[in-house]
Amino acid sequence: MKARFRRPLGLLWCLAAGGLGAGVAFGHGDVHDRIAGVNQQIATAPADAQLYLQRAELFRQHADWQAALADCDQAQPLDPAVDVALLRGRILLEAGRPADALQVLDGYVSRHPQHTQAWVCRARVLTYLGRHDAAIADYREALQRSPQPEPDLVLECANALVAMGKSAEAVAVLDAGLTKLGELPSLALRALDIEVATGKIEAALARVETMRQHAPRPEPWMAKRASVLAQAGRLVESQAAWQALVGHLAGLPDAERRSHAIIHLMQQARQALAALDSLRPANETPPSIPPRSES
Amino acid sequence: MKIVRKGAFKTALAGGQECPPSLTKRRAWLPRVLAVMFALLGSAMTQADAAIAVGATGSGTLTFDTLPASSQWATLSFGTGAGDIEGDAALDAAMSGISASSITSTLGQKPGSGTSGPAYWRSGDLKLGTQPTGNAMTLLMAKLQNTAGTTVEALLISYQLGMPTLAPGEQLNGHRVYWSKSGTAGSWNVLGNQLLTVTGGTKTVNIPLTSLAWANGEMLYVVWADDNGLTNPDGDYTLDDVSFTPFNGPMAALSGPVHNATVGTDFMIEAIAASSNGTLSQVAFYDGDTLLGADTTPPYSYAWLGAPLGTHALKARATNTNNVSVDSAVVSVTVAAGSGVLQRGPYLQKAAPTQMTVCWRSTLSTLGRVRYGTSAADLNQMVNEPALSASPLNHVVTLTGLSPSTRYYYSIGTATDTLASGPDCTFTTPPPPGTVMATRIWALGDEGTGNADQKAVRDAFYAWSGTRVPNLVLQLGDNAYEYGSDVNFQAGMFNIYPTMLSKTPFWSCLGNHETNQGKAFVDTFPYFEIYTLPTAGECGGVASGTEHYFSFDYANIHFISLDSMTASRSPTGAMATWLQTDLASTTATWIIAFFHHPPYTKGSHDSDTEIELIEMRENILPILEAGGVDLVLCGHSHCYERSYLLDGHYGDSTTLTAAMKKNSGDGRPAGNGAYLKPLTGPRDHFGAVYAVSGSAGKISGGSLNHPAHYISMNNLGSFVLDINGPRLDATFIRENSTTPDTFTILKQGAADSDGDAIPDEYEMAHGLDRFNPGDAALDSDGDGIINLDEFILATAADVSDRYAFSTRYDTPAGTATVSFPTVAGRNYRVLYSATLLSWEPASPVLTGTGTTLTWTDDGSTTGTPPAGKPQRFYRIEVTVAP
Repeated sequence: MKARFRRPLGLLWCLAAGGLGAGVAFGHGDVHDRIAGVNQQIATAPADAQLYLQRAELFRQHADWQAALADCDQAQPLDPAVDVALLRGRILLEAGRPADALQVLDGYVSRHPQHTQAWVCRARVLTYLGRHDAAIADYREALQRSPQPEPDLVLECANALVAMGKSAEAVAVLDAGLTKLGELPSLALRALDIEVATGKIEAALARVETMRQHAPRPEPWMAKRASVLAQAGRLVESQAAWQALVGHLAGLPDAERRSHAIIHLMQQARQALAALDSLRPANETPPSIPPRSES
Repeated sequence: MKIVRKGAFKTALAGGQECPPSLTKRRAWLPRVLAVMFALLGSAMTQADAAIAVGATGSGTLTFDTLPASSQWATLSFGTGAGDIEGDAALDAAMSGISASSITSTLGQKPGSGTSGPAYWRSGDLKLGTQPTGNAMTLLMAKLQNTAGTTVEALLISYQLGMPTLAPGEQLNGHRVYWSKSGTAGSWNVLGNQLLTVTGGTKTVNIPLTSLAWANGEMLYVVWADDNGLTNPDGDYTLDDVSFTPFNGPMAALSGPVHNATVGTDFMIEAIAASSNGTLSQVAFYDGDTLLGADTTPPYSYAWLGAPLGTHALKARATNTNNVSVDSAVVSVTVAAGSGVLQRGPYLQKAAPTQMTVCWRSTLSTLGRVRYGTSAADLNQMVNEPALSASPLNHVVTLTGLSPSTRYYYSIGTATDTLASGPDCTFTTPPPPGTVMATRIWALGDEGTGNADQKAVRDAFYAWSGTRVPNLVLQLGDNAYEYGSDVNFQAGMFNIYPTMLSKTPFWSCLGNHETNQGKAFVDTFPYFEIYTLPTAGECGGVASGTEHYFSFDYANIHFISLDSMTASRSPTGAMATWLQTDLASTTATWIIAFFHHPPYTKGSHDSDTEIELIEMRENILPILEAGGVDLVLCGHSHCYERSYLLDGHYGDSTTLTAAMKKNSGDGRPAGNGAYLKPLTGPRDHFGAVYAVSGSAGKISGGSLNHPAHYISMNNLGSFVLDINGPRLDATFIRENSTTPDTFTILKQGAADSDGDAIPDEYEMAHGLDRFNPGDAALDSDGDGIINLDEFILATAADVSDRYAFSTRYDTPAGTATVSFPTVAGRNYRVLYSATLLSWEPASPVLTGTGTTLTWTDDGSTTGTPPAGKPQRFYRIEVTVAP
């Protein structure tokens, strides 16, 4: 429980990203029912722009892009104060018209630079268009405006940076996310991938160790360490790491050792050791594999 | 409605003339005409008549003893119905397209609270008020003009904010304030939000506007904007005692507590302070002339802990960088002992074997204290709330260092009083992870109506369960209708389950009503203030870094709460990645996932057409099933639906095949039999049961014909799980106490995905294909022993090896000793033969131990070899222990 202002921030995203629920108390119903409900409301209040926006969002959810855009067109002149561009941009993107979406969102972002989700939405459109450089700028703006960013936003920004060949910056974005959000595997694993791919092995190993210390069980990160070493070509160390893992797993209590997670790790370890063994020159002594559980 | 134009409008319209309705369309151009006229006349007096004159000493306090001039105050509302202009961003977006010249409607006049429409002139007690109900947004604008004769560097805007009424479901939100000197679209500056937290309360608001450089004669527009989202309507509010006062140098005003308030002994003193040049060095807080403390960064506050009882004269002293100081007006507060009255709780959160979090809300701000012990008569330990939060009426105290599986008794209060104690203030800590124990779980979906249906469901469970208190409660989302507001949670949760909340930890997932239908991944919903959920894996599981999704352990059960509403449901998204990591890290016997949007439903929602449901099914279920989930609980559809034992059904309802039903029976031991799953080995794709239990507060019908479900019912009820070791029993309890559905899942034996009698565990360890039954008869390593026999002998199917044993004949004794290696999980018996043609049992069946066993043939079983056939042959029979 944390002290926060109760005013729900960012609820314009309801308009932009769906969730214009039924207006009736406890109202639910599937999309068709909800559209029918809004139809009835429009019949009694045909000049209410909000109703058309609600229906547009419902049509969007239903992948009826044409109807959704038509409702946006209806709503705009009814209430000049309503800016439908964000919703329209999202519909256009989902309708496979990213260039049109971008044009609409450009205007929206310029009119509403304070709207974090607008930056996010445009960044995604730019990513879709392969314009990663511009997308990165929008992602950065959105991240700067988010004290507790959605982890996916961090990932998307990092991926865009990787696409631009800016691996170090991508890792920096992920690290900033980890600082803000805690040791999340989703961010750490992505950073790890980038570090291994760019040869930053020591950094990767240090990251693995950090994650191992924060994890409820060490075994997945022991496996990750062995895997990183193998990817780095440090086969002897990798072999030793895998063997250490096998030994560790074999020593677990029966209930844990025979669990789904541990059996999969054991299989992974044995396969890795077998693969490493096949790489070993013929005149070398094969590695000793710890005793198997034969139950 | 008559629109009476006053002041300058009178002049423009030839005085006293009523404005016909058609003229309302001219509102946009009328001020421009007036502005031109003012420019031509060049008369400051005339301009002041059109606006609130702010002279050298300010505007004075506008008490609204008389109707304010329509040229000074105006209003504008958007939309004919409630809409989704809601929250800061939406308000900012809407305001950015508005010019002051379009805010021209005269304030109406209404008795008491308004009912709908624009801001109004509230008769009776003479205030300005808003009631945006029926509109998406209502604006109230004051037009000011600098008549000070000089440039005003800073302006203090002060007013009394009141909240006369609050209808059910309405929020206690306030408004957002903007200012602009030009009044043109896009020129508005935000002055922040002003909120009320108490129904019927009032609040003195002071807003400093610094670095203003407001030239003499220049206009200034101040707008109060009130949103009114469709799903989150606001109550009305009033403004009174408004003043606009120039200041030069620092200013300070206490914003909390309010004058003449009664507070607890620990409370926050908050101040609004500024310097006209925008640079303030500190704000010091005083009790009379005694310095309490200082703050150098906004928002300026001081936590006064342990304030003496009695009346205190508080003030703030702001000092700017030029070392000029000014004192705020004195606020008198009375410090009272104790916590006041218990408003909410106690309720239990974040239960773990060695910790428990106790939460509650009281009416006085104090540092809370929990006293506890293992005897109700001797609460000999205590934990104090570590610090005063920004919501000091809400208390969160975490007890640590507890013993697992231990019953504790507790009380809540402060150092000087007790707010709650007694037989319902008790809890038992969870056992260590992996412990086998009888565990009862009560699951509630879509329960938060606060109505008689919810109570009937509750009472039916209470009667059914009797004195057996559940070990934990799972809330499947939509815990507080209609808007997930704090008020809704009080009515739909805290008022309904008070005794259960005080003794059983509640765990939840996010529903669409917790977010007011919003889909932004933010933690500003009241839900996140009410619940304290693990983010760092502190209750088991992998750290998620967010309260949106998390996991925890209880006994031999691993629970996973997912956010199907606001988090990315992408298979490569952060939640999915975390989920995979979490599933790869648990060794629990049972895995139970819960989230709001069901993958299979034909109730009041349709999983074939709604995006959240589709994406959870298509993207998240494959991860859950690969991780071996046993049971998935959801709500959203206001009904009860329960599936067969399913696996791999990721398409819409038309794509279900018979093969996806791992067991198409009823799952009842007395019926078609319990659903069976392996106890050991890999657990993926042995099937899971999917239950929609979203009728704990209401029912909403639907076609209820999803083919994945064994049973579908449009009945009120809740869902109970009883888990003990390898057995799970589930029961749906209707509001009338009947139990129309039960099922059982039993875990036994080792996983054998292809049914070839070689367990998956062995196949995975020896390079076999656990999904290919044909490889049992193969000899993969070419050592002459087929894989099935290799498994039985506990030799390696991927290494050429042999099961070898030895015999030794003791000539003097005339005995033969057979030595043979064994492994656990196998039975061994020595057979003998004199001819190699027929074999007879020699030894008893011996249980493998993992060591080499010996058996000596002394003839007592095998007898004397026949004459002429002195040789004796032995072999070992190996079988898999049942």
